[in-house]
Amino acid sequence: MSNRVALCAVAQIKNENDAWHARFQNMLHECFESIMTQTKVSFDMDKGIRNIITCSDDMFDARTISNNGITDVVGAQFRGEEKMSQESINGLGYAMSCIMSGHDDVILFMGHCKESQGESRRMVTNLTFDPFYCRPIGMDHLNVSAMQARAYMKKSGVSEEHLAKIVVRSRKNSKKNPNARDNKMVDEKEVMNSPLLADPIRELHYYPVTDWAYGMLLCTEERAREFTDNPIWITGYGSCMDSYFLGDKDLASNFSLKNASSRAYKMAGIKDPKKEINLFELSDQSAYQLPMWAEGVGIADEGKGGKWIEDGGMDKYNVNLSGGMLNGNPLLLGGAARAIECFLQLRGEAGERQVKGVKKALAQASYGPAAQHQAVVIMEK
Amino acid sequence: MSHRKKNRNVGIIGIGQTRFSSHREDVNQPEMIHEAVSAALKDAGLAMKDIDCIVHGNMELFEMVHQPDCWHTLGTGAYGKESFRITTGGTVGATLSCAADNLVASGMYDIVMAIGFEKLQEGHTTGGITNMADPLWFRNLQTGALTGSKAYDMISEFGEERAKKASVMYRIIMDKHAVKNPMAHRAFGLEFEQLDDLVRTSPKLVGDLKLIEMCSQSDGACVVIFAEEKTAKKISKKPVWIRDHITVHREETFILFGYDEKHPVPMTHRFAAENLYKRNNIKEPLEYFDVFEMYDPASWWAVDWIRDFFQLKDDEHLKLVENKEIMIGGKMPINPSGGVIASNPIGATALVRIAEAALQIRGDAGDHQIPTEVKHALASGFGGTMWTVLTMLEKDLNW
Amino acid sequence: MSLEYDKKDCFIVEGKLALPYTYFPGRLGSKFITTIRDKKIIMGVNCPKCKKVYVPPRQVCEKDFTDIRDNWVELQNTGEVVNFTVVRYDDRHLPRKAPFVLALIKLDGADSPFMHILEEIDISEVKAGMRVEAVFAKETTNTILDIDHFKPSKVAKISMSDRSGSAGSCDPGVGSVPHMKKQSGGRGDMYNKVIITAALTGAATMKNQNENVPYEPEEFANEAYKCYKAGAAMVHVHARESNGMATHDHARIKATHDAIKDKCPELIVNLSSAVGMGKTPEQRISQIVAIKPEMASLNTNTMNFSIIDRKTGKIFIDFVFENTFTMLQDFAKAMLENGVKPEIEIYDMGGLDNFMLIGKQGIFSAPYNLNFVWGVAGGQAFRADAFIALKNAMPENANFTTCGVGQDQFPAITQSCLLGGHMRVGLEDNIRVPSGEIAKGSYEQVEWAVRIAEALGRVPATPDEAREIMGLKKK
Repeated sequence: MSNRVALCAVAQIKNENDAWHARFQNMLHECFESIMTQTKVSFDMDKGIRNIITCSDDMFDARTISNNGITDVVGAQFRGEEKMSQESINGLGYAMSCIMSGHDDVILFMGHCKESQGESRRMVTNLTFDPFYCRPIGMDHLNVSAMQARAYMKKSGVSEEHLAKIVVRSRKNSKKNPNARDNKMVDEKEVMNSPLLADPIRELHYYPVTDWAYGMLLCTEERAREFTDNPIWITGYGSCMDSYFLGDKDLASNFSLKNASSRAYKMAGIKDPKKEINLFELSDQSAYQLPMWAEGVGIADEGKGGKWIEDGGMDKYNVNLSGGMLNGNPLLLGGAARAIECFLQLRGEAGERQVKGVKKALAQASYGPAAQHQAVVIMEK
Repeated sequence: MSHRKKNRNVGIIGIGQTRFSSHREDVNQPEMIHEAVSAALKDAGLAMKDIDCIVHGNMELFEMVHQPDCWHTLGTGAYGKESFRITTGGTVGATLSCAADNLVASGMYDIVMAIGFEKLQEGHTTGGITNMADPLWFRNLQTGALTGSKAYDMISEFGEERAKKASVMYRIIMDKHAVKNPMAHRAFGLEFEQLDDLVRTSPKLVGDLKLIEMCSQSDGACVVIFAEEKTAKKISKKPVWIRDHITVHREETFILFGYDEKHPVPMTHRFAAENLYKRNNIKEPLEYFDVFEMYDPASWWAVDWIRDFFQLKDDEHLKLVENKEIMIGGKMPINPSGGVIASNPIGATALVRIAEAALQIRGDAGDHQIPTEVKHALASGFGGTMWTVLTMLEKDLNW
Repeated sequence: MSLEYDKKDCFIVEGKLALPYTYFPGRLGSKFITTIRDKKIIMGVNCPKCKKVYVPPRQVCEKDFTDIRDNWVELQNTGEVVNFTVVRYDDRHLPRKAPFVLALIKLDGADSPFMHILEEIDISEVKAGMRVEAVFAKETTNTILDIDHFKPSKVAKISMSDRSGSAGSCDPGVGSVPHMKKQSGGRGDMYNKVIITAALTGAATMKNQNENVPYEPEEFANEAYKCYKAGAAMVHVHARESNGMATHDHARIKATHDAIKDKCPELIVNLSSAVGMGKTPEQRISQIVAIKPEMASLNTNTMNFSIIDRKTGKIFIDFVFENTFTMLQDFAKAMLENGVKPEIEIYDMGGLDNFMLIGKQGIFSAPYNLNFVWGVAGGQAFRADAFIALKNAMPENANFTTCGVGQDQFPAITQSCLLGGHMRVGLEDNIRVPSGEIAKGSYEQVEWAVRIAEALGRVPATPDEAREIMGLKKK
């Protein structure tokens, strides 16, 4: 690799359950102004931002070419703008390539999603499926995740009690995160008594509908000090796609995450993630995914997710101190939320939830039915 | 330093296209994509296992599939591989090429496959495009991608007869090219003798934009494989090098609200071309380039845009068209493939421009190969609200 | 940062995305849906590389783009629930009111489960592993919902021993039985290419029986070349001395092996690890280790291996062919260590059991390549039902070929071809062609085998295709 990519600044609005009063342009604009103020970056054709990467979704925005509606508020008037149409975490991978290729010095990376705008988030994810074999049956991300939950919990000895523990902890952690969605504190009994959505997934096991926007500024190693005294380095990225049809794959296998994380570790030169990485932010859309992804990135032993929870693995490895996706981030933006938490922790700016001595952190996110696609980013101080 | 040296050179080593047509009932989306994937792999002499990463793009709402790359894995070969999905509206095909170039040049991947496709037959294109407009300000006024404003501008500037004739002349030239391209969707066999008739009889869509002047809606896919220099030289006898690319967007809604004839808003095409040529030290683009594959969604736009892309003055662009200098064999052949006006599977369209420009450099364009050597090619993408992507392709690594 | 401002005068625009869409399922999808609609039959496609039947169908296998669009397999309308969820929320995209069950169902005859609705059952009684059957819609919609849903079924899973039975008739109007059964030897099993092997000599066939039996290395090479030209992908070789005696002499075996490879580099050479009568275990395996052919035979049981007059039962030569468990183990290990793929010689069901038992040590690499041998005096004679019993008893990820001694040769290979297996001919097993005339060489029998394959619609595998099928290292 020719050089390191710097993450110089992040901005976000608070995760909200229904930002009905704000257009997504407003939400982005808040973040945009914050990045400008923090970094004093310009849009000069020579020295400034020439290319902007955005992350949004046509279905959630109910707009064809959703990035078309935000050109002005992300500063793309007469500059380049490219939309990451997958999980936002992949936008970080792509931003790395723009910078490492030599094509761009500075990249602004912004994203938005208002899950509350649509009538049903599940209806949107039904459209992920082909119109012939899957869509008419009513498949959506939730009921497909339920299949994965059943398969994984059986394989790894994860129980209802374990899931309850994960949810209670997520809510507690979110209290210390001022940008986290405001959720009610719950105890384990409440979790276990919450209504089933799609067996074995209960209402409190599943991430709530959320609106959010963010911004990040990335640049070359040489230019980082122009924008911040304290850059964070993105040193590894890896992704992997699994099969599409549910029946074609072993739902509990972590095939794509194992590949994605080992590719990211290779790029970042990490041999033993347990020892070398101090903090993990995993995109747990549903509670079962937290131990499952922990196995996938190699901090829990294969097939031992249940025991890992009991042995205090979540705290031992500093997993999801932000509250995680489970506390509420919009679909496709969970990865950006994870990366932003890693950034804050690495900079020592995570407030009440700050962990001492975080040198390397990992952000993970997935998209697609039963987490068909996985990606992992490694960040360093 | 404004624009750094590319970390490593990137070459096109494989090209595959489906035939473009209005209907593809015989295949579903991943099956149609697979045709182009297979063709590109065959062209490159590679198997799927050789590909490190896939970049996929189209417009979700045109077929109403959310995150379509998940389902399309059945045809793209993405299983087990790294993959990106990057979209920018009509420019998406060109953006796929830019993204593949960046991904390879970065050193993160050695071989990247860019996949653009659209099955417009399955959706409702004009409805889909109308949904681009802001629901509060503009959606009730939008007429899809159809607009008569460029015709109005050109008639005002050059007079009705000359402007209308230039537009139809351009259209006939494109058709003459399309007839030579077996992949083209629409190839009517138009003759120059029909020019006056067509000006008079072709039904009007919006203002002076006539049916014959508008691009088609097509089904089809295009795949281009990119590799870093060493790999490209090893695998391909004739790699085509990506020299540079530039993307320029523009906010449209509020620009139109403030439209003022005396203070015209700068064109993204002109702005993109100016900046691209400046940083690559191209003084006379009309002399430098040997062929231009332009995203020409309608002939009025196309004629006008020639002026922007080549930084021309006054009526120089009209003369190029009127004197047939844009034909195969002319001074600046434009769209030997027949262009977008002949075939427009939107998500693939701009990538087809890159693919066709590369085929011209390779000398592999068959019947629509231009007769003189092609060393330098330009390809454009158009989309969104006057967005531009421009890409420079080179035969030799000598810039 | 949060959006703190006066929200008093904010209003909301109600909108809806309502665009028409027309999706084309393509040829495959159309056939899948119309077969359900018109015949009440659910179809999958078979991938010969993965050895899996996939449903829903697809044109190419996503693993490596193997084209599988024509490999249709009829599945049963019964199957097993492998995973499920109870959908307890209502939404407009859902086909039923909550609560209802979505299940991943593995149909009998398929390897990949697919998702559908499960009804006519108390939700609390849904279990993974339960048997279900398709209920077809009364009115067609030309969608996957032409299977209206699945319901619990009393039809037991078709056991392995039933699989090869004759086809049941299909009458979907009357409920769950009778069903179309998956058959061994149906079209579904015959998609793959057939590997033809020529066993050029054996240890016992002599020139006085058929003058075309090769002794000299160059004779072997010429004979092998003719077989290759005729359609064989592999030759099985017992080297001979110039006087015709089977030999364990490394130099002679190597000369024979190399002569064949020089003349015909593509061909797979499979050496015998039996060599001939009265050889010691050391003599038998050391030549394999020394020469390291791509493949070698590996025998699975100790048995009588004699020459008996077939008409009178008179014993000409009595011989015990010794293949103890220890030898099976040691030979297998030696082959694994030296990169030689064993062809596992199965003389009866006990031999197959021996292989599976010793195989628990993990000393065989998949795919396993079995050869069912018929008609040895001391082994079992060819019987069609015994063949099917052997096929059904095979472990997963196994290929099979067959050879028969004398008159068993052509019936045995025909059945193998019919069941999707491979074929071995050659003068080792039989000196004649089916017309009764003396064969002009092993190659003439190869020509007959090719004709059998053609008649059954199968295509002979090239040596490289055979390597692919049998899991040999790519040359």
